Amino acid sequence: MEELLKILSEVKPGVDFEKETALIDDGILDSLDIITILSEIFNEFDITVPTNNIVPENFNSAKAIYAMIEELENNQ
Amino acid sequence: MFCSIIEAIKYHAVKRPEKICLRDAVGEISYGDYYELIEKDADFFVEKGLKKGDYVVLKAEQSVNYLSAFHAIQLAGGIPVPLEKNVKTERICEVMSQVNAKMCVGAQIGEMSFSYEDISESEKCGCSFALPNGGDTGEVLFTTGTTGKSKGVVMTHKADIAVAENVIYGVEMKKDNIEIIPMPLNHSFALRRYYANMVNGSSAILLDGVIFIDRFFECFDKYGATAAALAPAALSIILKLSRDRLKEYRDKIDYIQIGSAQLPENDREKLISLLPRSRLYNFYGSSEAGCSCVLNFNSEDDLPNCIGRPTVNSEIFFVDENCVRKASGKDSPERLVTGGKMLMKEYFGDSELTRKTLVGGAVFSNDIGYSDDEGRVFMLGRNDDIIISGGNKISPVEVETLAAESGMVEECALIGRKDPVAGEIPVLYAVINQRYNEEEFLMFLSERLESFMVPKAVRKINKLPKTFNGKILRKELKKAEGGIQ
Repeated sequence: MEELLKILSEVKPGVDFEKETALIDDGILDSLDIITILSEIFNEFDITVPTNNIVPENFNSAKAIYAMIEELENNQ
Repeated sequence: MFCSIIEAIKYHAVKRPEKICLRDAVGEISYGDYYELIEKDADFFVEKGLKKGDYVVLKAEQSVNYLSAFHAIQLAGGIPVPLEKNVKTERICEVMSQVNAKMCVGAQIGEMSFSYEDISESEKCGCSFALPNGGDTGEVLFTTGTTGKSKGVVMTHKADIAVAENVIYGVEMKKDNIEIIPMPLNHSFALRRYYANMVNGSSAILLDGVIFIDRFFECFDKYGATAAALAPAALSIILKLSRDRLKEYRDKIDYIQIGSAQLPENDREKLISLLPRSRLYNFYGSSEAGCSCVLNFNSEDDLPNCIGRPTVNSEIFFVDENCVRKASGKDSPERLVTGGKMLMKEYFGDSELTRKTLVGGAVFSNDIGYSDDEGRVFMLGRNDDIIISGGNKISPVEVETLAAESGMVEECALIGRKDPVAGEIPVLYAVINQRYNEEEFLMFLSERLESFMVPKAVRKINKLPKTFNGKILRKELKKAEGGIQ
């Protein structure tokens, strides 16, 4: 989780990623941020996120993103 | 011919009430139900005290409710002023103060603020409304201010119709067109594609961006989409995330129209290879002179720097430095001017800027170009982007296009750096790829360009600064180069 929080803070400084739960719904992360996050997830965790996992629910909070990574780690 | 977009919607509501008009994240709505919703929402605004000529600022959404409220304000005699969905409160206040707005929708600013839920839950009270006059103000579109101060572009209802026709004829839109519009609906690009579908009596699918890529493809699979209106940045996201998946839809996609910024060469070639039989359009235009030229870049008109041919309501001509109409050619490019029924009425509250831009009923752009004997128009760059080095004019687009053809850079931007001897020297900011070799790259350019056009330095960067819709922010690069003019 720490690596993920570091990635998120670098992509979007100044956001409290441990508390925010509406990163997409409130427009905190935009499409280009998500592209960068997907690329960093690949670099850091060696995981390619399939397009069917790229849905708002999986990106609304750091917790949700991490849960998706864990699930993909188990499946890939 | 219709005098307003609402009139077009009403016409189709009467003629084909069951026809699906719009789809958003909530569901779909037919023309008949949509016009009824607009009338009901207009009742709401009248009841809240909206009078003819009052301005209403709206925070845009990718929803039927937003568009219905937008037209309801028009039907009630008001003037909608849409702002982007993530707009900051200070910006809303600034615009509200600038236009002396009576109401605000989608944000809580003052007593006369309403949410889309407030409007949607209101009851119909059966007021009767006259359709707007074509010459009345339809809306005020605030530009994003990337080229300086944000400007309010005032559009009339009939100009909205003329832009819509430019799109309809430009893309050869069929009656059964179903177009995906994933771009923000406060912006002229998306709003005008929506207008085109309403005038045409076809259907639009409103998406909130393309990052959630399966939803984009679902529009083809589940809802039978036949077309899409994309900014270059959105296309780039689709290609990055889905790789070759667009190819699976090659027989379903009638056309894709790209607008609001230049399409990177790599994406353009990729799109042609994935959709060889589809029409692929790039529109040239501005908020002030919408959709004035169109190019099908999957056709023989796809020549270097070509922006296509003037659209149905547009006239393109060229003027010299004294603003006198002049013949232009490849060796004698001039300033591009657009005339036609789709032009803006004025800039809001800025008669000086209006006087400078709208001369003799035509919009004077800052773009430099020429037309050929076939009627094709070519654009070499913005007047203020043109680099003058040792008295020679350098078109950034020409150098950037060639640099992309080298296969060693992903994208790039050429800017002028102040120089005590030459006045300016060309410097290239480039996102390079693995094949990049500086010596070979400069050799490639030197063999194909005049020597004064070859960049004197190549600055490698990770990404080019861009606006949300993919326009390169050259001013940022000039600042970085220490030579902002």
